Amino acid sequence: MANETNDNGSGPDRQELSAAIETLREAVKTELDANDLGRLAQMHTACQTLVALDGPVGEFSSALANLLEGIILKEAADADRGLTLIPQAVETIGNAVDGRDVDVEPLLIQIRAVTTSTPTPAPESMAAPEPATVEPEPTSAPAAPPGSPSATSEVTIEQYVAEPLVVDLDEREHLEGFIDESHEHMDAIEVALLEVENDPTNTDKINELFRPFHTIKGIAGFLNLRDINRLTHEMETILDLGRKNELRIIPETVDLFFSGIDALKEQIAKLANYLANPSGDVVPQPNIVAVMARLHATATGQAPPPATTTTPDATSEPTQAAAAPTTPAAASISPTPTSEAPASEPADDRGAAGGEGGATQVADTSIRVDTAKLDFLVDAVGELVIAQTMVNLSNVVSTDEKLTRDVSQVSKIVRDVQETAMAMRMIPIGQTFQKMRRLVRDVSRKAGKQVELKISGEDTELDKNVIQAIADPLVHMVRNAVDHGIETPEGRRDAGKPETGIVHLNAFHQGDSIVIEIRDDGKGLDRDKLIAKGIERGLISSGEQLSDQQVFGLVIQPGFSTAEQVTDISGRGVGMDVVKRNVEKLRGKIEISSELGRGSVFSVRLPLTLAIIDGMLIRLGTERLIIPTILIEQSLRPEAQQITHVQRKGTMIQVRGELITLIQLGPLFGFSGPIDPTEGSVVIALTETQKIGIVVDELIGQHQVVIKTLGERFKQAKGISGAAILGDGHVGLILEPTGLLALHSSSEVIIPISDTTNIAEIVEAAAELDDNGGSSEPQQQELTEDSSAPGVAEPEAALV
Amino acid sequence: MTTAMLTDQAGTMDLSAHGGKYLTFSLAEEEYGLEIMKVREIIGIMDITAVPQMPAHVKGVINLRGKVIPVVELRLKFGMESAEYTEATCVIVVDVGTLVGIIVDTVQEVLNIKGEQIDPPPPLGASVDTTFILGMGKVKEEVKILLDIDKVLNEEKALAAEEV
Repeated sequence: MANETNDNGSGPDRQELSAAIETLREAVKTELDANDLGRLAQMHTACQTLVALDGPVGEFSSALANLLEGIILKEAADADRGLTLIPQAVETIGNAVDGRDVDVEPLLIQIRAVTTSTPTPAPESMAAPEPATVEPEPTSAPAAPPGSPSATSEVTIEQYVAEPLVVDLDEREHLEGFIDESHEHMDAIEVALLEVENDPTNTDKINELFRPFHTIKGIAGFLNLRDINRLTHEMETILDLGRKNELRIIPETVDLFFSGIDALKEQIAKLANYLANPSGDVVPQPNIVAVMARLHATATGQAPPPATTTTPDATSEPTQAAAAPTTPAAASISPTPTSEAPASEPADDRGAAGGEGGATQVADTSIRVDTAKLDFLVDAVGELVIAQTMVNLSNVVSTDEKLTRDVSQVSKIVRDVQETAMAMRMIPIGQTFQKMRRLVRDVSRKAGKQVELKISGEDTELDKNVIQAIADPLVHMVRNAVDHGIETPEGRRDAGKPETGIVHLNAFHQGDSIVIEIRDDGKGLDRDKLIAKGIERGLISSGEQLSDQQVFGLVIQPGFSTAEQVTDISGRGVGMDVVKRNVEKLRGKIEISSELGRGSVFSVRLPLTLAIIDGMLIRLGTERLIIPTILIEQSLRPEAQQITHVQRKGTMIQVRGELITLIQLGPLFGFSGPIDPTEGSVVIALTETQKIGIVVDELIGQHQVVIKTLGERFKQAKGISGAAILGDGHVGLILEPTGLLALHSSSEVIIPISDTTNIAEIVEAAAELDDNGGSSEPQQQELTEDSSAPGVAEPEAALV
Repeated sequence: MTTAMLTDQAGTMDLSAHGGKYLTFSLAEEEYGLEIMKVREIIGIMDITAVPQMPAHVKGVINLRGKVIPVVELRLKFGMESAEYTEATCVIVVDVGTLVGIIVDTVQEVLNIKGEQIDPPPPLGASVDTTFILGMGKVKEEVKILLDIDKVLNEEKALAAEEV
């Protein structure tokens, strides 16, 4: 038999055969390791060659191949013992092929025993005692009975042991692609999952959920990402039962799914980290044993998913239980409104989901473009616009009628191109909003509250970079709204409100900015408490007259410790100062309005794009500079009595009873001498801590400018945040008030003044101003009355 | 690399590696050369936007077709007196990792200077900084000071950083 290796027939030729045997012999020369997949795979291939042989050798090789496959796929019942058997097996095969008479039977039985999970009696000649072949996962795998009948080919949890993951860095590109793609799938899964939770019998929805799981599973299998493959496999199994109506999807099932998705996310995050910074041979992996056990138990119907809440749902009907977020409190106190309120909701959700579905279809007509290319396009178009403007301003153009027409035609096209280029970076905020559903669900369950998330304006488009940067702040604010804004069901009932609180996310355009609103109908902010706290923290002084905006603004101030204010859990404002900083980085603003007992609205106002800002162009001697409009409170032409000098060093301006430091850019920047404020204008700008008055020669007007960041070389310049190219091609610097104030405070500029004023006169000046400061525009009034200062007759209102 | 060569002035230094094309320009009667590979373009003097808190030789920034690039006045950088800009004043845009403009009195020509025409910079005493000189190019009767422009502008960067 063993000699049947001639060239006749379909069997392998002698050369191949001896090569295969040689490979096997070579491979077992050193001790085998289950993680040495390369070597195992090589052996597997060699065995496949031998399988083609007839008779016992073929059969034996086939068994060995199965064992190797089992070890490679970590499915072998006892890989360790299998490994010790392999050298023996190779020797036996070798002998058989060489024509020696060998009895393969005993070894064959042993090999089969360690390959499959069905324990076979240990043959008598066994050197080592047979270890327990099938060991149920000892830790935290509750109620998973050993010996699943689904046997060999199926991955069973009993065999699941966390194994180190080794990835081939040559496949990096594929892996990275997988990571990107899986994020999208998981977002889709979370949205679909919540829909399924609301409507557990809707097989369409379950199918929708099934697809992304299946995709992840497939790719993970292809890339040998075993844990990810198995997790998705188990979840897919459960979904399959769900759509066949063999398993009822209840909130606990959904919880379990979320745990599974979290485990998946963690796996993928770890993998991404490893790829970004490969260290060591093994990808660190989180332990998924517990969640696998729970998933598997559910999938095989052996145990109910261990619920996080142990409240029996006996009181409510199945569908209601599924629809209502069953917190213990809610279930026990009043089942009726609980089951009614959410019952009406799924309809809304489906409406939103319909929109989502539409979006998915639209996605088919889109292509992926490297963002670097988009950024380049936007830059190039910016340059095109500037060049175009320069052509327009050229004197030659205006003298030739045809040229003028042609140029204006080109201008129009350029504008279209610019708009399109900008629009290409815009993506709808819907996806970011959808992610909040999961958050609201988790936070509300944890806090024992009933919260419904309403979403609108999800088609509102924002610059891609803005969306990325706003995601985290949004999470903070939504969490705060649920955790601290919305009351407990009891609290809401006592206040005469429906037990289910509403958090409403909305986005819309307003002028040149976009507003994202987080509105809750919770308890609102307590003005008096905030003021008391603010005084205690030294952020405000007692007796100060504060607007609502100022008082509510306290919650986003750094240092406004949140220990026991407003709420008692952890305090509104956890990380709110971080939110504020992030929003300001985007040149945005947070506005807060609130009514005690009725709820609060946090509005984030953001610029449409990061590349363009609205700026006030000012002139300082021959230089032109830009102050971002968002940081300007007002601009005015001051009266002599509004100006006060202090010890010849500082100059202050009094505006509506407020004393504001004046900053002279000329001396500060070394450009020129100081400007007499009464002959120029003053721009009142906002720094992080206070207002400053910037003295300028002239206000040129409002412009939209394309921001250009300055290079490394200029990073140390204080008071400058960047540069912009003005319409005539000249570069204008963009001022940054906070840095200006810091520079001003550290410099020793002495301001020459003609008259002697001292600090005592401030009070006098202030009193004087208060007398005629009753109107809303006192400066303007004074301006028209004053005729002594030159140049004041110029109309100024348009510039403010 | 250059530093090693320059500190090894007395010995068997090979300057032939520096042979190649140089853009020559003048600064207050002195003639300089700049590796042509580093030169992006030459433009006439244009409006410069001053940036505050910079050393005197950093004149500010200009708009190079939509890019905002810094401009350094080489006279001031080399401790010479500033001169009034004329029709002949030029900005040479060089690529030293990023684009930087340098202001020179006049741009002259592109010269092919062979390795054997280059001598190491002569020891000029402690008062003259020779670290950013590649070598002295001898062309006919004239001597061109060949600059290591990366070094010239790197040192300027370091200077700026100290001011923080």
